[in-house]
Amino acid sequence: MISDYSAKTRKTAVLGMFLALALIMGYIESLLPPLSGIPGVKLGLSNIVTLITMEVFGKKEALVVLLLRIVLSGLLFGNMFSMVFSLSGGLLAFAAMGAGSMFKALSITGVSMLGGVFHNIGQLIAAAIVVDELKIAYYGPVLLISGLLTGFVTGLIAKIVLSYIRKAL
Amino acid sequence: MMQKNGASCPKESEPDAPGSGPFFGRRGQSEDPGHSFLSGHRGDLILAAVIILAAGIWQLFMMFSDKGSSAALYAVIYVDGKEYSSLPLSEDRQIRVEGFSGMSCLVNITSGKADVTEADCPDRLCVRQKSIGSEGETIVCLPARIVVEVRGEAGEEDEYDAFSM
Repeated sequence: MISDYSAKTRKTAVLGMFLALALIMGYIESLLPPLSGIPGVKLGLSNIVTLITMEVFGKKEALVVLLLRIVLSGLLFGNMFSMVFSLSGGLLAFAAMGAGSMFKALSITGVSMLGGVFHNIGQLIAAAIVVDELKIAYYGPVLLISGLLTGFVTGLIAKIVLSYIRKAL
Repeated sequence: MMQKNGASCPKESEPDAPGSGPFFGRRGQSEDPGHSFLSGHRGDLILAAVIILAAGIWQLFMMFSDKGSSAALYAVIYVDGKEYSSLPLSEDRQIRVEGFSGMSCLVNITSGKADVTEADCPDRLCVRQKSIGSEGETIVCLPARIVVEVRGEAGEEDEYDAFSM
């Protein structure tokens, strides 16, 4: 029987670990060669952690981990500019995934695909604002498809990881 | 794959497995341990189809809305790698371009499109190439070393080569 107190401590510790994991995922991804020449097309490994946090703890906790991850990785590896970009993508993706997770018809892979697509849409909007150029919408179709594919991959990874850590946690 | 999905779908709607820890059961779905990871819910497939459809419509929309914006386009003509002339596509005109070793071709600009209509090069492949009207398209005449390219601004490079996120 887990008491309230130790359950809370445990939750704090696990969430801290998830945050560290999300940061490392983002760092590892920055070491990988780019998937393509198109800006914005990336795997989104740290979204695996967002998905798992959402599944295991809930939306509120996932949002906290996401925001802290973006701010910290912006301070550690990036700049204000990259922080704004990941914030716009991350928040829109989170909103889409939060909404998507309420549909029973979608598995975690589907939720992740929504996240991937809306992450790219968010970045596209941010890019359009930054360069003040609507022509950037030409990237739209490519970014939709790439978001779908990368979301599928990260969703699958999250599904596999979840099946293991459900027993461990 | 569709068949497989259909067959394994009902399994996933089972309630939470007993013994899931205190942190679980937020959502009414649990992963069946003996269940293939590749088979998703039917909703996932529908979502993927919708996204692909949206991308297709977006692409089509881009291709059609592109047509009307030929006002600021230029046909830039290069001979032997050097810029020879830059002509707005909005004005109809003809220009004879003197190319390499005395060969020449006739560049014809009509209704927002540039085309090579006459040439005295041996293969005349440039004449057979389609007329060009959108940014980045080219007509190349190899023997005369003439390149006609459609550009957004007269002779200028694209504004953004790259940007990083």
